[in-house]
Amino acid sequence: MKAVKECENSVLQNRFGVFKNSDWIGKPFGSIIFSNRGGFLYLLASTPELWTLVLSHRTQILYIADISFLIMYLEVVPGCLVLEFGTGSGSLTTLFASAVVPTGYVYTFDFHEQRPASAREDFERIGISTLVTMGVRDIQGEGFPDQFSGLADYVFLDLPQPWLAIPSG
Amino acid sequence: MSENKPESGPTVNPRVTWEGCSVLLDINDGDRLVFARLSAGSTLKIGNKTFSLQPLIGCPFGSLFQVESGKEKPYLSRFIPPTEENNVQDEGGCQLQEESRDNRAIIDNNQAQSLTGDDIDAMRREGATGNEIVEALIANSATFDKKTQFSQEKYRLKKQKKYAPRVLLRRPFSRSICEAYFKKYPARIGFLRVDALSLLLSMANVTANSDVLVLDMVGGLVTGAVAERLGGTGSVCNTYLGGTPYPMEIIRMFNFNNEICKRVLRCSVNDLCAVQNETSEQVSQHEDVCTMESQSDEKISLSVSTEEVHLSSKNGVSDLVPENELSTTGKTCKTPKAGEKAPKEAIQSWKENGFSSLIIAAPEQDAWSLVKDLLPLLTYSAPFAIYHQYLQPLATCMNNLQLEKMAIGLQLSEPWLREYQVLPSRTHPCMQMSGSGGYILSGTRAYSNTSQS
Repeated sequence: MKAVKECENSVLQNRFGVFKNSDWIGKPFGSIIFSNRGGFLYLLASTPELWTLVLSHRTQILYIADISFLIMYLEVVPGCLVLEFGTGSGSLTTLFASAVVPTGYVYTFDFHEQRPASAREDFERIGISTLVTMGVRDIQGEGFPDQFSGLADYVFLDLPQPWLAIPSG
Repeated sequence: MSENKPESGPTVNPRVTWEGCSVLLDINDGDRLVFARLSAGSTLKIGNKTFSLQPLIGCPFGSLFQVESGKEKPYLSRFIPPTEENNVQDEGGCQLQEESRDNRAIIDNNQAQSLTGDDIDAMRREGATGNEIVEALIANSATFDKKTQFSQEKYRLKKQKKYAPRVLLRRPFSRSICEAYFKKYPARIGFLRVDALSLLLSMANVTANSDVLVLDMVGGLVTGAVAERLGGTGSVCNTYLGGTPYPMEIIRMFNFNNEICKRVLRCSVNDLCAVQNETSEQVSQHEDVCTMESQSDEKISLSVSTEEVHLSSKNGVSDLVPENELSTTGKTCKTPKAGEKAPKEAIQSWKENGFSSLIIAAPEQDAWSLVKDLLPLLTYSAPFAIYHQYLQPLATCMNNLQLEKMAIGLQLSEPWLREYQVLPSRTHPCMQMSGSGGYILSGTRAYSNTSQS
């Protein structure tokens, strides 16, 4: 599975052959497309669950089994404010965003310098940047940001040493 | 987790109870779970005593209540546990030292406790609190000092549960409702465990602004969980085979506001599949008759279920008809009814656009025959998820879907859940574990030229 941004003139090549993007335009999602060599692929509409399976891993990510359990246990519904510490590659962030849309919001933080930039690009690409704010912060060292004091519905920690962050919560 | 101040007004996530709301009462830390509807007259029975639930109205969800001996009779009072962090750390320190005691000298002949039942009743009449009784029992136990540290803690906890029971006021949410039903009446929800339910919702991509088609034969639990995730946007079409809708009594536990209830609609499979308008009119006339009958059936099934879930009979009857109650706080507590018959415009729009996902939770039925009829109602590339208690019907269904090329990305999953007891030096899986929470077949609908749209 691969996430592809469709452009009129570009072409997808893999071991099944050459697939011209222009063949895809106008076809309904779910269609089967054939290559020049008789190989085929299916065009699927993107969903947050499929995104988890195709995103580029900058860190180890959470998969649908754990994510679904988390969202159920945290009781995340539309309208909630969620703080996530430890963005990583943004897999869980995407699912949080799809759970709180349209009236909720997700603030996510990572202490790495470059990962937030890649994460922001991904959020822009899949269209959730209006629901997510990505920041850089070392939660274990600095504690929770004061601006959220008393406001967040849920806080999720995916850190190497979460007990260091708890006292400031 | 940081809990915030209670939100005011009719919000999506109210944090404070109100008169007429449903709550889940957790007695003694999970030993017993009871659904109740809070009102001035509702009661709860613990042991052989009945307590009024009046003190619970207006408290935030998550409050703990303890049984206190009142002047006339015992009542429930709000209990704020003192910060015990220091104690816990000291205990932790003690445990690191060598534990020299063991149970070689303890003989279980029922003679260790010198206080009799009569003595305890006398103490109660004099107004001793539950904790005082527990301390007295410990003081009068000949073997208490011979027990190990862990054993003493267990003893204290056991006595506290009996003589000073605690009640936790829990908010009914899909997770807590599913857990409670799985523990008490699993057959009613088709043995759908909470992790299977969560996987079902995620695999079917249930988010706001989606139109979800649900075939729910598990009492309305799945419909309610989907409606919760939609949060007042999109719609849930609860569909059924034949003429009678399936019972949906669990939805009433969710405390949905009007906005969410409006989005839960019902429509039979025949109506959804009917092509011509005339046919659908005839069918819908027939439907109206059936709906009347089914509503009365629903009332009967509701009253049966409310008796079984410990509601007092007064509330059981009054719940069935939405009424405007003016409570002392001045809020109108009308119980909105979910599951109205889907209007023609909605059916038309669903037929034109297709549903955005499908969930089937029908443990008694054959999955393939249901999927065959319902899958064509989805838009192309729409995800679907099917739950079944057993593997074989799903395996057959998966095979057929592959042969007919109706779906791709098919995946058959079995979720696994194990609970752990977490205590210093005593962290281990719980002694009993659920063996099966069901199976889920998920996939995405594929487009095919030969399929009828």
